[in-house]
Amino acid sequence: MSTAISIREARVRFGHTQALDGVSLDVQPRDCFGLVGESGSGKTTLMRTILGLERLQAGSIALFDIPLGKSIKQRARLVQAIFQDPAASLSPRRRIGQLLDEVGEVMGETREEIRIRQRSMFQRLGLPLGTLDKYPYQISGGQARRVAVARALLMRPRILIADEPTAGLDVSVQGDLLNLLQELRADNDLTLVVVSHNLAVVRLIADAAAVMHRGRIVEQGPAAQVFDAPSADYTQRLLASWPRLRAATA
Amino acid sequence: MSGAAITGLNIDFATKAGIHHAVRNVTLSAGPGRILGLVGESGSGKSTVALALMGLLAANARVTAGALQLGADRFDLAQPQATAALRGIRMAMIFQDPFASLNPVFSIRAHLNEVLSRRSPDVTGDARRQTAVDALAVVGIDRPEVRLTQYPHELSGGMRQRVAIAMALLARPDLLIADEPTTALDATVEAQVMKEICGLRDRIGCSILLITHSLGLVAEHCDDIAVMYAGELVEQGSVKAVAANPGHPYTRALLACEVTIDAARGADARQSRFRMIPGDLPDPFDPPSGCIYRTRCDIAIADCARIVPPPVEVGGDAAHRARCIRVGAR
Repeated sequence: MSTAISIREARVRFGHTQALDGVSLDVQPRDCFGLVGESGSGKTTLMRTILGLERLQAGSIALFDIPLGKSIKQRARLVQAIFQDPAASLSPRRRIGQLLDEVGEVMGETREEIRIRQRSMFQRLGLPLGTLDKYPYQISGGQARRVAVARALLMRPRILIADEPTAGLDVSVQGDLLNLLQELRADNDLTLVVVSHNLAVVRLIADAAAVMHRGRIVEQGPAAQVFDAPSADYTQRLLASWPRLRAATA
Repeated sequence: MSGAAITGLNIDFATKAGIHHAVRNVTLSAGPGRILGLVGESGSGKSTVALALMGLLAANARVTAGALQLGADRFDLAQPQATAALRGIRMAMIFQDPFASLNPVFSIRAHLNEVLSRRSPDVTGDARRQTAVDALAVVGIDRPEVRLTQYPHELSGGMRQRVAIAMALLARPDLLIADEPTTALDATVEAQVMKEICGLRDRIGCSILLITHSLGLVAEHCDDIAVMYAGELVEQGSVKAVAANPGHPYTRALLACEVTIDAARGADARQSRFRMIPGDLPDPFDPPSGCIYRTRCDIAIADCARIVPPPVEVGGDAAHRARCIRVGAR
């Protein structure tokens, strides 16, 4: 099977800042790929570049051997994203159902077809059907995240990118969303990219991972190797500064 | 040096939907030279406690009862401006967003001077300048002389938080409140900033109230821990005792939910599953009778709906108490 995401020597510059400084990586299909790094490391820029939201200065990106071309429509069928603040990505003036009807327009489906898919998607994600008639401000943060997942999946993408999926969620509820991502992976032919600064979560959920620092990838490989036997100094430093619960009882 | 103790703190918010009892009967203490980690999730009331101590509550909030004991002095927090005279002298606070606590139109020097003019009015001129330079150097800021002339926007997030710590250092408070001081910072910077906060405690011997949602941070840096849930304190004790033997089911569940960096990891990441606490926070306008946590509790019994649980000693340790009638019944 072809590589899900193949990036070669990608460079992106904002003014004087080299946000991506020669990034190369491969994401295998059906893998969960973790992209970690601190703020300003370039992980969000890399994600936005894969989505076609930033222009490459040099280098190339291909999704399933299809080079990133000009057709945003084709791209949207391959890759979808859940953004960090899901409530902000839902228009406050439209009901959830109306927002999801748009997916049908993009997919060229009839209103009836998309409504049937909306309902089965909501049932699958554990969202009450009544949510479809609500406005974004009327639902909880956890539900907004699920709605964002529903909207992304209704596009039937082959790749789903989750940007900081647990940011802003309390520890008692973040497990719910992480388990949902795990379930989606189990019963879909879906490649998942998790962009996060939360090393502990990525360590458990990812098959393979890359560590970014100052626009470059300083380490990449199987998650077990990156997190449990890192070779780069920076990865070691990052892991060492992560607070440990064991400190208390040791 | 003295410690700080809060007793019977109650705070109400007047909202369109009615009166919300946001903080109910909270009693906790931070011993002299000790760091108390106050943990809780969104809506637990932990930041409201801090703002009440500093006298910075929103206009629709009211302290209906509560006292602060600071050394030999006792302050009735239900009185208006009860702690106003202590701010920046005996009590100081570090906020989550240092950009919000530093004034964008004042230089770093002006910020430090303001604290010094309040705390040490006799030190002036070159001596004051040198004190400010020394304070910046102590909290790990490079080229402190240059930094004095800079403005907040010229510094990084970690650097700004260090300036806030330097201000606290110059205030030499009896009680320092740090509200999520590292939440906006990266892990490597977080570790450095926490080191400076602990260093501040070692240097001036103050008590520190560290408000956070990170159990890892508490485990690494705090002596004691207090756990809040939906406006109530549910457990308090030394970090060691609570981590080893949590007495309250909520504390136990929180510890289980925490994703640790050294958690067991199977060969197949697909099999990883994450813990959560089922259910929702109680309706603030219609809280359950008896125990506030019983609607989400996995060991609740009929009595939990009838009895408001008093603090119960856990594991024969007088300093470790949990508000659960089923302590030891696990």
